[in-house]
Amino acid sequence: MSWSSDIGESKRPLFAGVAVVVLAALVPPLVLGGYGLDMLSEIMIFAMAALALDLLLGYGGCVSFGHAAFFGLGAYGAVLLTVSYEWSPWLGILGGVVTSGVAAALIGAFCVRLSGVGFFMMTLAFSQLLYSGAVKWRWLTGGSDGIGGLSRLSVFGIDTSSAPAMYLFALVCLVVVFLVTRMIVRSQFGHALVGTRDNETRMQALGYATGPIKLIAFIVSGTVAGFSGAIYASYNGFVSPDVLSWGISGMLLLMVVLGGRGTLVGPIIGAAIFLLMKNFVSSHTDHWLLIVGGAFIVCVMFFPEGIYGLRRRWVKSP
Amino acid sequence: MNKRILTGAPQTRRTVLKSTLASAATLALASPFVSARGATTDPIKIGCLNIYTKAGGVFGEAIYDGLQLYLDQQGGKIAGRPVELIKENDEFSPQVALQKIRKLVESDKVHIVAGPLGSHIAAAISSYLKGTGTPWIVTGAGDTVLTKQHLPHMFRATLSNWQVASVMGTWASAHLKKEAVYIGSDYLAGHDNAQAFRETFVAGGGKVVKEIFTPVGTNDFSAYISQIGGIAPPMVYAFYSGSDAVRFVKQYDQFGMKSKSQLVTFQSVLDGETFPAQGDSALGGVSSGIYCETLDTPENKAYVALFRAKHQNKYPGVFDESGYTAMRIIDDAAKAVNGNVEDVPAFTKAIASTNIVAPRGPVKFDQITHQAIQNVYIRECVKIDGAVHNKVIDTIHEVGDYPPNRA
Amino acid sequence: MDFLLIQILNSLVYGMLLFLLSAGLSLIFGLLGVVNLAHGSFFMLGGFFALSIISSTGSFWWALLLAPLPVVVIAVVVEMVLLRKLYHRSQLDQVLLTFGLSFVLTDFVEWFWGKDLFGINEPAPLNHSIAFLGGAFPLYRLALLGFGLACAVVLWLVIERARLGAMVRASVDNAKVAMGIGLKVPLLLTSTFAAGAWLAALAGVVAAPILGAFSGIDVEVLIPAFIVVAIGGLGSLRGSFVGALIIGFADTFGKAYMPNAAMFLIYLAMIAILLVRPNGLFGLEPVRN
Repeated sequence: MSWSSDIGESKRPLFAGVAVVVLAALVPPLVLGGYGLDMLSEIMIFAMAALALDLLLGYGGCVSFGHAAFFGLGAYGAVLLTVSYEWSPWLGILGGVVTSGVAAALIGAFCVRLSGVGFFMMTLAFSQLLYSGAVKWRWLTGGSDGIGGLSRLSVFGIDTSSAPAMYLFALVCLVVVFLVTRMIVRSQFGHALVGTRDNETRMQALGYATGPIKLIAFIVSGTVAGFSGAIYASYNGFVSPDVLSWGISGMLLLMVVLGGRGTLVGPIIGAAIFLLMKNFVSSHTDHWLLIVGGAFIVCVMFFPEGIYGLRRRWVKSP
Repeated sequence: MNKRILTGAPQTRRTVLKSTLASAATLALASPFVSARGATTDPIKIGCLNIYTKAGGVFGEAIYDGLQLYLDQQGGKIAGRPVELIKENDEFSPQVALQKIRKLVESDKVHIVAGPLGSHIAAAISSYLKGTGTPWIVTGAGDTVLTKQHLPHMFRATLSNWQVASVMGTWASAHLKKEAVYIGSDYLAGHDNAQAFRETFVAGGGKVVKEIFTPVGTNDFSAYISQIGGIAPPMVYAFYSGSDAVRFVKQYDQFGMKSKSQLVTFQSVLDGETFPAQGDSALGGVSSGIYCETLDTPENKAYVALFRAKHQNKYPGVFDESGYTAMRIIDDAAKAVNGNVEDVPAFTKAIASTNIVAPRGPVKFDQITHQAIQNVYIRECVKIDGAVHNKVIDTIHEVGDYPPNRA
Repeated sequence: MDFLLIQILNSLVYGMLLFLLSAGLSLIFGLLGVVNLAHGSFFMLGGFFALSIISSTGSFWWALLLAPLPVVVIAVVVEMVLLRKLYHRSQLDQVLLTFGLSFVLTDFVEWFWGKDLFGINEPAPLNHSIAFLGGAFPLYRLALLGFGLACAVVLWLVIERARLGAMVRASVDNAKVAMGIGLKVPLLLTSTFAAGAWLAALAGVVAAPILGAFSGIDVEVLIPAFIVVAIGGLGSLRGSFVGALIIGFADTFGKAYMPNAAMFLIYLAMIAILLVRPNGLFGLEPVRN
């Protein structure tokens, strides 16, 4: 039909995206109760963190096993600044984001010099370092017990204490993160990053400074993860060393791979599937580890491109 | 609002319960407990939030098992209504616990929350439950400060760390030695214990020479044990839970410390749940606790017989009894309001007026803080008929809550 | 001084335990290039199978001999059915496979043995302490020290002297050429993975009298094993030995003298070493084609 060809290929995904967001904003609050909306809020928060990791892992080719460091720093920053130092909640969030950004710059400077397993180990070491600090320094972080008492944000006068308000706020955050990531990925920088992932030596031969490219990706990835961590702290009103544990790093990794690495939609799908599966399965059976582990093995063996990546197998056009 | 869209879970459970409801309804009509106010025969839902996997899982399972044991004894019903126990795993993570408690209260619409074990979990969910006003029976978490909040709907049907540790401080300074080293896990309960023991031990003329805090989940205590060996105190007070308790006691024995420094502990270090793994290393240890499986009372004997009919090769520990008695408290209170647990003010008032003789002894609640007032027993680990058991060597009656909590 | 000597002994023992724990991980990585996140699970299974063997035969020695065998069977099946198909894929895929596997194995343990805390007693001749420097030191730990040293020597002989190490590396680097010169590549690859699993399970049996057996122990031991291997050098057995001793000392003395900084110091040490020598102290170039 001439109508669609006039509009052009590039417009259809945009319409689809807008439609999805509008539906997401309108339908669940009308149809789901508080618990369901809370579940979706949590999915969207982790989707942001998974997107952040995907930028570094899927597009950058650097496998980080330490993203909990940034997620956790964002969370701790937000809680500590607001509860212990009595900053306003928004400044607390900003503080959390800045903390994780600075940490990403420092840690990234050390890590991007390594590749493959070395990078993997180093990122793990740093996040474990922060985890052990959080556990040990009770005077600052409350130790294993954590710190609570953070009240929900007020967004343009709307209190996010209610489930629908929190849900919409999380949705807005996710959309923003999605758009920002999309912009980065489609930019010159994004292309250089993917080029570095695919063949670093060739990129260097072409004159690209691959080290700084990877470092910038690392910093952006860490900062966005920190942002999602800060929102998570706001959502829970509470933070404890778990947010810095390698379990979180592993979970984000699972989400990215399950959903589809190197795509924008994949991490979101991965977060949704993982968390829904976890909650649904663990309420019904004690064997959720078996099911999640098994699902993961199947994914790695048979569709490593992830669930979103599967569409490429059926779509004929490139 | 249709919550059924989200998960299939409520639907499956409802189909199973339909038949139970039908029979319950018939019985209820004939039951003398149906009041003029028209108590429903819908199931009473109890949300059992606890740790059911990994190292703490054995205790969470013990509490759940205790709840189930009492329920089975009552034919699965309380005050004429069937009971549905909804089990949710908090994974010992406050974040996960918050998610699960929301599910239990908002989606499953439980009438009562039973749990948790972890003190940090209890702390994390208390402000949420304060907001929703859901009746909450604490079955495991012992952090002293929890009852300071005077939450009207919360009742701690188990020990407060202060109760158990402070009693030992007083008793040890009077009957054992006057110098001790404290060693415990570096989290809320560990610091709680340290403070409680220290306060009463010092008041009794004792001196705590050093306090050592070890990370939760320590593999190897040799460095710490050797350190204590270097100090050579006459007595060591230890607080540990779970795998830490097993390892510490075993390694303490392996380093030959038992004969040099008398080991006194909190109840979780030397208890029914840890004896199988600790074996003879536990012998000679003295601990304080609110329960002892060898208590020589008719209530306890009946309970132990009931327990062993179900689990032939085990004896009940503190957590088994905790679940059992918690369910009894719920049952008695539900009967007092004729099954109408939906009437939260009346129901919580009924719980507050609990005054029973449980397997552990007399139990009632402090009217201000809702902490259980109960006996604390000094127990010694001995061998009875070839198996390691706790034996009561002294009883301190009617121990209440930490006095400053009542202010 | 006495106190110092005892702590030195504690450090050596803990170091040996760490070496036994991480040797398998280092082997699998060094020769196959696979980061095995299920390593802790193999360790855990070793302890649990030992538990079962001891409760039916009453003998720790039988357990030491036989408990690693079912773990080896599981490892062989995993390698042949799953892992082998991923050798040509990225390292990330291999890591993720072993990650998923660790979940499955943990569930298996909880299913079959339950969630209780289990303990194993030291075998009869070793279950008392000897008087030492005014205190007592468990004989079992001294035996562990000796056992660890013996294993180190045997492993070195097998891998270096018998050129098994070189053969496996050749197989991984260029399978066609390796087969061309007569090496049985698939057999070597499977055997290496199985050997790593066997070492992990053996460590699980030997550590059980000290650490116990329960379903969270795989996670507890995985991180220290990783640190040791990272510090010592991926793929270097000598590195694992040295790395294990370093961590053994850092951990023990840290606990005794700087309790507030103990865990922290170890990660700091790991980062410092990796900065100066990214492949670890004795690391070889990572195995990659």
